[in-house]
Amino acid sequence: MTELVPAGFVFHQSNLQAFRTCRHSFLLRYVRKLPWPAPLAARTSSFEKDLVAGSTLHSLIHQYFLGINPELLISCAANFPDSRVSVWFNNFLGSQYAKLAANQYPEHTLQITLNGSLLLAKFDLISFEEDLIHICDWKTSRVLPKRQFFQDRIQTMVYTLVAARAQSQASRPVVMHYWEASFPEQPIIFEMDKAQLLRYEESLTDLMSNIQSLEIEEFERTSDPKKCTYCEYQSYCSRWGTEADGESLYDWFEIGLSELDGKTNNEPGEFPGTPLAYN
Amino acid sequence: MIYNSLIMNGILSLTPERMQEQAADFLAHPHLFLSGPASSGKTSAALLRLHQILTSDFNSRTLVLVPQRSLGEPYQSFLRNVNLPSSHQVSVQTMSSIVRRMIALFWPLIASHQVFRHPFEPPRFLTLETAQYYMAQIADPLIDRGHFATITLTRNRLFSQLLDNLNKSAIVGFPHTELARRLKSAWNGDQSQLTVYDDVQLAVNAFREFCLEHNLLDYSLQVELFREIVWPNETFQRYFQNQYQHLIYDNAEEDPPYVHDIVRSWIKNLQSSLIILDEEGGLHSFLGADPVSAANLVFDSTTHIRFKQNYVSPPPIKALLGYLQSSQTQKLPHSTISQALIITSKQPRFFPELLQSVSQEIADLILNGTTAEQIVVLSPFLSDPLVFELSRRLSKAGIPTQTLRPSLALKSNPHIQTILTLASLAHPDWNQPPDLYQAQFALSTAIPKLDPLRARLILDQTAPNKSVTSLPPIASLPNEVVERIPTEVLGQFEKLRLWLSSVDPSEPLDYFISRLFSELLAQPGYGFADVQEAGEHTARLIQSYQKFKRPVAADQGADAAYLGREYYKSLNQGLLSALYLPDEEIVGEPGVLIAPVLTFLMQNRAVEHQFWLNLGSKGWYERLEQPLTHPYVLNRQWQPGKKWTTDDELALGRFNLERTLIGLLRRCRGQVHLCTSDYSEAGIEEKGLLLTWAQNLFRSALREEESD
Ligand code: SF4
Repeated sequence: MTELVPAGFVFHQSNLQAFRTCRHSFLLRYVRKLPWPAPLAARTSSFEKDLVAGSTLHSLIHQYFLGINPELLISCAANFPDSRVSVWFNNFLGSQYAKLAANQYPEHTLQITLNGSLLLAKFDLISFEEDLIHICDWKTSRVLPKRQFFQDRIQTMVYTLVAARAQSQASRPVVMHYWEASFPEQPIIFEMDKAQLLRYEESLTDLMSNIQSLEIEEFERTSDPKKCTYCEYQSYCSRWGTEADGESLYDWFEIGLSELDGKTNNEPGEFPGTPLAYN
Repeated sequence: MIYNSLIMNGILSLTPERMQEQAADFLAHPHLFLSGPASSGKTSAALLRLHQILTSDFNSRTLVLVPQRSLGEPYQSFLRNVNLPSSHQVSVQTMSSIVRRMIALFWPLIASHQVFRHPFEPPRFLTLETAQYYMAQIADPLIDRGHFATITLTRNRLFSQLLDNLNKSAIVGFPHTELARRLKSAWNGDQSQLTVYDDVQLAVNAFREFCLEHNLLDYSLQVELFREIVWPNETFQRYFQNQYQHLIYDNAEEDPPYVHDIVRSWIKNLQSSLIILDEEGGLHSFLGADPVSAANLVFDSTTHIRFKQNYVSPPPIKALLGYLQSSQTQKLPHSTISQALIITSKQPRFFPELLQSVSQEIADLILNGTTAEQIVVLSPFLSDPLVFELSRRLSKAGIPTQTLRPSLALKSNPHIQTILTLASLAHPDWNQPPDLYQAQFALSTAIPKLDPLRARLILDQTAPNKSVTSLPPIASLPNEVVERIPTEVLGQFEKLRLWLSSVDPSEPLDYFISRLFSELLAQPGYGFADVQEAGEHTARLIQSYQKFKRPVAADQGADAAYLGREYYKSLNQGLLSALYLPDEEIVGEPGVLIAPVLTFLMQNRAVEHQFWLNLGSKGWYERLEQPLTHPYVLNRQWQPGKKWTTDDELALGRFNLERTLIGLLRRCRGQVHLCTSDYSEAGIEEKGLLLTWAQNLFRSALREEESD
C-alpha cells in the first residue's frame, strides 16, 4: 500500500467515479487536493444554474422529511428565482415518494469497511422496511437518462452495497430508486439480489485495492481526450480544445452537486459544506 | 485532581495516565468538565475518549465542537488515521458553521416568523467581506453627510468596527439597539465621543433594516436567528437531538457566551459530554471569547477533573513559568533564566542585522540536529518585508520555511495582481485603469521574457498620465522601442493585447479569469505556464469572486458587468482584503514556521525553539485602537454603569502580556530566543513592557548573584 492513499482514506461514489473516468483527475482532486481554475466557459452557461436549482430541490425534500410544514416549503419553492424548482417540488409532492413512513432517514450517511478500506455513501433518502431497504436518489436531469446509464454507474454499486452491508440484518434485499424530478412518472428502479451485491462487492474491493496499490506515476492521464472536455485540470494537463463528452459533463455536474450539498467534499471527521461566516 | 462537582468530596490522587484514562471513560463520567493549563494532556485525553466512543458505541454520533478550525486539527488527524468504520459518525465543527448550516436548513421555519420583508425568498449569507461591502453602502452616505467626523480610521476599518458591534450584541446576547447606550455608559473621556456612539447606533440600525429588507444575513443576524428562532423550535430540536449523542467541546474558553448557552441547554439531552477548558486561555477575548462564561459550564457537568501536569516544558522553562505565576518575590537564579531564555551577546543595531543573526542561529540549530519543524519565529504582527527577508535568508541556507498568518491580502499576491490588472485593462468600462507600475508589473509577470524596463518602454507610449487605459498595438511603437525588444516577445505582447481587446464586457468575471488563464497565461511562453502556484492562486481568485457574487448577484440590476466592476472596486478599496481561505493561510512546505504570536498560540502545538522578534513592540499586549466599539465593555462580564479607565487599560495590557508569555512558554520544549535590536523593525527605539520585563529579569538575577 502506498502512502498516497492512506489506510484511513474514505472512498465514495464521486472519487471512485473520478478514478474510473481518469486516474490522474483522482490524484489531483482527491489526493493532492489541488485547486485549479475550471474551464467554466466549456461547461455551458446553464451549468451553475442547474447546480443551484438541483441543490435547492434536494434541500426542500430534506426539509419535507424533517417534518417542516409542506405549505411553508411550497411558498419557499414558489419564491425561488428558478421556476423549475417549484415545478419539481410539486412533482415530488404528487409522487409516491412523498409518502411519509417510519424508519425513513433523509440525507443519511453510512460507512462500511471492505477489505480494510472505508467506503462511504450519503443517501438522499434511505428507508428500512422489515424485509427490504429502499434507497432514493433525486435527480434533475434535463433529458431522461437511459436505464443502462444508471445501471453501470459507480453510484448504483456503492449505494446498494453500503446500504446492504451496513446493517446487521444482513439478508434484506435493496431497491434503488432514481427519481427524476422532470419525469416524475418514470422512476428508474433496480432491485439488487444477493448475487448482484456480491459481484458489486468484488468489483469495488478490487477497485479500491487497486487504487491503494498504485504508485504515483500509475495515476495516468486518460487516453480518451473526450473525458477532458469539462475537467477542471485541462490547463494543468495541457488538454485544450477537446471534443465534448456528455458523460463527463454529467460526472462533473454530479461532483459539483454532491459538493454543494456537502456529500463528498469532507475530510474525515468534518461535516461537509460548512463555509465559515465569521471565524 | 478529580472530584464530583455534585458531591464535591471525592478528591482522588491519580497518576497522569490514569487521570487521562478516567477522563476517557465516558460511561463512568458521562458529563465531564476537564480543565487544566495548555500542554497538560487534555486533548490527548479527549482523543482517548473519542476512541472509546467509536469502538464501543457504533451507532451513535459525536460532535467535536471547537472555536476555530485550527483547534480541530488533532481530531481530524486522529480520524484520518484511525480507520474505523464508525469514524464518519464524528463531525468536527465550529458553532459558526453549525449556525450557518442550520439556518439554511431551517429557513422555511424562519420564514414563517415573517422577520424579513420577503420571508420566503432564499437567504443571502454574507461573509465578513461581503458584509463590509453592504455596510459601505449604508455608512458611506452617513460619512459624506458629516457623521463620524472625528474618526480618523480608514473606511474599511470603520465598517468592520460597526459590524463588530453588531456581532458583539448577538454573541453576548443583548439587543443591538442598546449599543450606543452601553458604550456611552462606560466612556470616561471627551464628551464629543458620545456623538460618535450615536453615529454608530444610526449606522448599525440602518444596516440591520437594510438586511431585513433584502434577506441579507451577516454573522450577527445569523446568530440572533439561530438563538431566537431555530434553537427553541421543536422540529429543530427533534432533528438535532437525533444528530448527535456525544459531545466533545474543546477550548471552550475561546468561544463567546452564546455558544456556552447553547451547550448548557443541550448537555442534559446528550448521552455524554466532555467540556475542556484551558485555564490560561481566553486569547480571543477581543473577539468575544468569554473564559468566565466557559468556566461556568462546570456546574452543568457531573464530574470535574483538573489536570495540572506539564508534559512539554523542560525544568528551566517550568521554573520560569512558576516564577511568572507566583508573586515574583523569590528571584530565579541567573543560570536557570539563561537556560530558558537565550539572548545574543551583542545586540545588533538595526533590524536587518537582527534577521541575519536569527537566520544564522537557526542554521546552527539545524546543523546540530534540530529539525526545521521544531523552530518557530514569532512576532506580534508579521509584515511582508519581515516574512520575505527571513524566508529569503533561510532558503538561501537550504532551510524550508512556512508562514502562517491571517489571510494574505489578495492584491499582495503577484499572480492575482497580474490577473486583476489585465482584467481592468480588458474592461475600460470599469473606469478603473491601473497605474503605470501595476501595468508594468503585470506585463512582465505575464510575459517573463519582457523585463520591467522594456515593459515600461512600451507603456510609455500610451500612459502619459501615469494611468494605463489601453495597451498600444505593436505597429504603433516607434522603431527605437521595437529594436530593443525581441520579435518573439513582441509577438507575445501583441497576442495578449489582442486577446484583451476582444473581451466581451458582459462576460462574467470568473469566466473571463478562467479563459485568461487557460487560453493565454498558462500557454507555453507565458508566465503562468507550468507554475503550479499560479494555477492555485487563479483558482482561489475565482472562488473569492464567486463568494462575492453569491449574495450580491441578487441585487437589482446586478448583471455580470456590474458584478465584475463592483468586485474590482471593492478589492481596490480594501473591502475584500482576504483570500478565499477562511482561516489562516499556510504558505510553504513544513519547515521553520514564521507566524504571528496569537496565530501560533491558537495552533496548540509545542516546539523546541521559539524566536521572539520585535520584543519592544506594544503589539505583544496592547489592543488595537477601536474607537467605535469596545470588546471588554460589550461583554457579559462587564459591570453595567462602570467606567473604562486608563487603569483598566493598563491592567488589561499587563494581563494580556502575562497570558501570552505563559501560553508561549507552555508550548516550548526547549528554549526561547529573545531577539532584539537597538532600532526596531519600524526603525525606532521601542521599549515596551516585554522588553523591560526581560531586561529586569536578567538584571535582578545578576544583581542577586553578585550580592551573594
Ligand atoms: S484533463 Fe484529462 S487527463 Fe487531465 S486530469 Fe482531467 S481528465 Fe485527466
